[in-house]
Amino acid sequence: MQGISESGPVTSSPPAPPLAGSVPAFWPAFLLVLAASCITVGIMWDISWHETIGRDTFWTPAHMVIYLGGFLGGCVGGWLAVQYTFLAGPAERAATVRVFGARAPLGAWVAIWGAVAMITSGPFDNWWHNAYGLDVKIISPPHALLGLGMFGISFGALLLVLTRQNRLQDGTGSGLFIWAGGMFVVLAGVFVMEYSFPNLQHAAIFYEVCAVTFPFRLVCLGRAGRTSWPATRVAAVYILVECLMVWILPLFPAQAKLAPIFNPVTHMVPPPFPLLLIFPAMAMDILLSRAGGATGWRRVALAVLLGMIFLAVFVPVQWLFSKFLLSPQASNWFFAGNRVWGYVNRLGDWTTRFWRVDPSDPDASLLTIRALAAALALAAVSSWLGLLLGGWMRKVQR
Amino acid sequence: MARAFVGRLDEKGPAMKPRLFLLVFLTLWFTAPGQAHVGSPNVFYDGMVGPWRTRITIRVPGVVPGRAEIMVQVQSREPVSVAFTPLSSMTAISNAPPAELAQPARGETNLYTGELWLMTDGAYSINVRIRGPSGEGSVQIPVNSIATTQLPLPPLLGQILLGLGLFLFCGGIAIVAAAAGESALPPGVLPGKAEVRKYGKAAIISGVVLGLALVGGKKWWNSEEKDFRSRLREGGWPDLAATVRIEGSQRILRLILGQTAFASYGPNAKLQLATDHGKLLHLFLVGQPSHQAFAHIHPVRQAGTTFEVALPPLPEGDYELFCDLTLESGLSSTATNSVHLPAIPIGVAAAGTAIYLEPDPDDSWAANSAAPARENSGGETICRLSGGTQIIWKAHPPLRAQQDAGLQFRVLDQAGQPVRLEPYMGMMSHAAVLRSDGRVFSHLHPSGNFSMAAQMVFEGKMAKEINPASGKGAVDHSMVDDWCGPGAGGGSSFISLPYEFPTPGDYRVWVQIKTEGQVKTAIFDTTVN
Repeated sequence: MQGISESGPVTSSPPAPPLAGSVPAFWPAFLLVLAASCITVGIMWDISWHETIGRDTFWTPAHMVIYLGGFLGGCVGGWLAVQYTFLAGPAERAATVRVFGARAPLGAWVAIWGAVAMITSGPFDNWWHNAYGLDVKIISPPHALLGLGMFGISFGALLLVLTRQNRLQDGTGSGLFIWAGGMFVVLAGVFVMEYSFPNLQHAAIFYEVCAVTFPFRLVCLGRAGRTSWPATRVAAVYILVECLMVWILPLFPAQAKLAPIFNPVTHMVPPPFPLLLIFPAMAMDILLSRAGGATGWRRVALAVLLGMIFLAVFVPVQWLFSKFLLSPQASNWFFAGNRVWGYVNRLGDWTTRFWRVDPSDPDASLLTIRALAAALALAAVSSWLGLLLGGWMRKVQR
Repeated sequence: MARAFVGRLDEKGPAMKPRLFLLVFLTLWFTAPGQAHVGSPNVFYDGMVGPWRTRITIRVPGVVPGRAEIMVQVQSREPVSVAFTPLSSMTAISNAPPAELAQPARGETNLYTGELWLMTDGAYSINVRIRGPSGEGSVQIPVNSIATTQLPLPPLLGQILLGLGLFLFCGGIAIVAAAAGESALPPGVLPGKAEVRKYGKAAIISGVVLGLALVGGKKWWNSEEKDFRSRLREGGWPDLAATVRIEGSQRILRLILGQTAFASYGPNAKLQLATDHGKLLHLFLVGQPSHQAFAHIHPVRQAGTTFEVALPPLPEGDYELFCDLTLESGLSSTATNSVHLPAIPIGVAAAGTAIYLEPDPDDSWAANSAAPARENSGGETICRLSGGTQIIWKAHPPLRAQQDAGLQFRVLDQAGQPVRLEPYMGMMSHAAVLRSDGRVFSHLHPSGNFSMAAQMVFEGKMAKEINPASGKGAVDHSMVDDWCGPGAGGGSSFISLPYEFPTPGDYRVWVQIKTEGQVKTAIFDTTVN
């Protein structure tokens, strides 16, 4: 299946040779991907820290890794802006975009924007907690701004990698692209984690949230990638990173420092086992390889097909797998089935039940035909946006 | 069938959304919010901890979760270690987190400080443990964890955030426009008309999208603030309905607690209260507008949330009510309202008049029994009571908010000799503090201003869990001396009340003592800067 993503109309024209001296350097892209990786791993570590130890000082290692990522992203972006604005020759400057009169690669500008958003969220978040207390909510205005900043650095890294790849047009740097894409998907997975616990994987809300989140990313990366099976490889990175967190975090002894403690944990609490995105990603790669470059109404039809294929594979796979994850057989170090509960959770049989599936429950979210249709609509729109963005990302030169 | 309430264990179930950060509210015990005292949330303790006389101040956070600041002043020069542990009413003592070691304050030899997170709404107890060469000891100090204040956005921070927000807004538009206009052009190719059009279109669209995001964000912020304010308790809690009627020769004050706050539990629900000094409620009446008449009485339960009390012979007029209560969870609170008292029925004191409700023997009141003594900063202030007893507020530095209130008193007889004080409801003194606008009220004892009932709830919980055969707490409060406060063992004439006035203003302080079987009330007025 070599070249599966390159067999469509997208690459039907012969690639133009890169302009001499205009190939972006590897190191800025690498450092920006490293920054995005720090942020992604840091946020997962921080969540585990909050679940295991509770709120702590600002200077926890997890926070430091996140802010290192933000700092590194801002510095790399800032340095590129300084370099291309003041130090570069005309040919190099002509390979950048202009923002507020200064010049830098687009990825650098997006990373700078992300770093400023992260910086802005710091004092805003600090005041927010002092004013309202509400730290227990992952989704609050300052956290949303922080999340946007993280997204900015992660997306900026992707753009910088793609600029290099698109300029060379030979698949150089595709490993970095796959890794950066994996981080992009992991970050999205973190922000929807509260809707993706195995216990929710028989509820419609889980599939609706996933339909919004993942087709967009898988399609856009599958469309932008210049390697074979790009979405599949990205999904594999997502699963690998998540699994490493599942396996490594519980190796470290830790205990809660804040009352009330309902569940006296003794080791760092892992995240739930990752979603099996690799299966829908494979199906989407196959479809994209055949019709990736569609435009207009053909693109709409392709988006609907991508949405359908995503759900057709993802729903049965995750439905069955979540049953296993809630079974005693999954309660081990590998799958972390019933080991994902933090110190604030009073353990009971609710941990091994599916949630929001009781029709008499006012909060029920049943996976009916209507709910599936809604999920399909969401997945189709998400895929269409992914096709649009991925098509543009494939062309980014600066 | 009536059902008991004040809280319930809220089991997490499938209906609950798994909230990360972390699933906290979903498994937490719902506890009705409350506030010990009104406008004076900080907690003070003065007493023995092991072999050391200790004064402890806990500055309770105004939001939840929030950090409580703890200061421990150990009256000894010997080196000791001080540690704090937060105990929640919702979990077993064995589930308490490891103790936090307090740090000695720089430049002080006996002052230790530290912070503890109070993570959820409800009742906590902070266990303060001191170890040293002379031994070790600990004390439980109950605190309420509830939202009581809302921090304003400092103008400078607001301007910084506005500036950064503007940069993000304009930067976002410029980046999107550049992405649409130039990013796909090969290096060296200048943007043509088509690119310029794309640039402009992208700028407009991104401007609209970012504008909508800002509007949505503001709406979201407003919604969060509304939610927060619905849980904010800036005044008394729960709601208190008060009416007065005449029954024979008595004026009966009827109180209904939490008609709104506890409405969801049904009309027959029973409010589960812990007894404080043997009483379910401590009700203070303060005459309006002069604050001259004062009573400290104890209503008794007639039904689930209905309480009644026979009023003492206070003059007709309007009165503010401050009703102290402690829920069985250990959460203490003060409910407030005002009521008009009709004139005393004729024949109220006549022998043989039918009694509808027996007054509580510990009820006390003062109506024109003593002229308020204006605090004399820098010197002693004397309040002369009927019968010649004098209560003398000792000289102290000028009073400032959030600093020691210097509430130390000597009680002398007419001849200037020390008076032998007797325990009044287990304490050598009860005091009440009221700011002139009625927005600050606190009920004080020599051992501190926290609820003794709440302390007993936690001590009982600890004792039961450590030794299930015993129902008693770690401290046996049947021993009166334990309750009397430092320097005020039975027979002493000295009273010390640990307290800090929370805010500047004009305050009135009522100090109640018992001597020769009679409760006497002194009144002091002071200004706090």
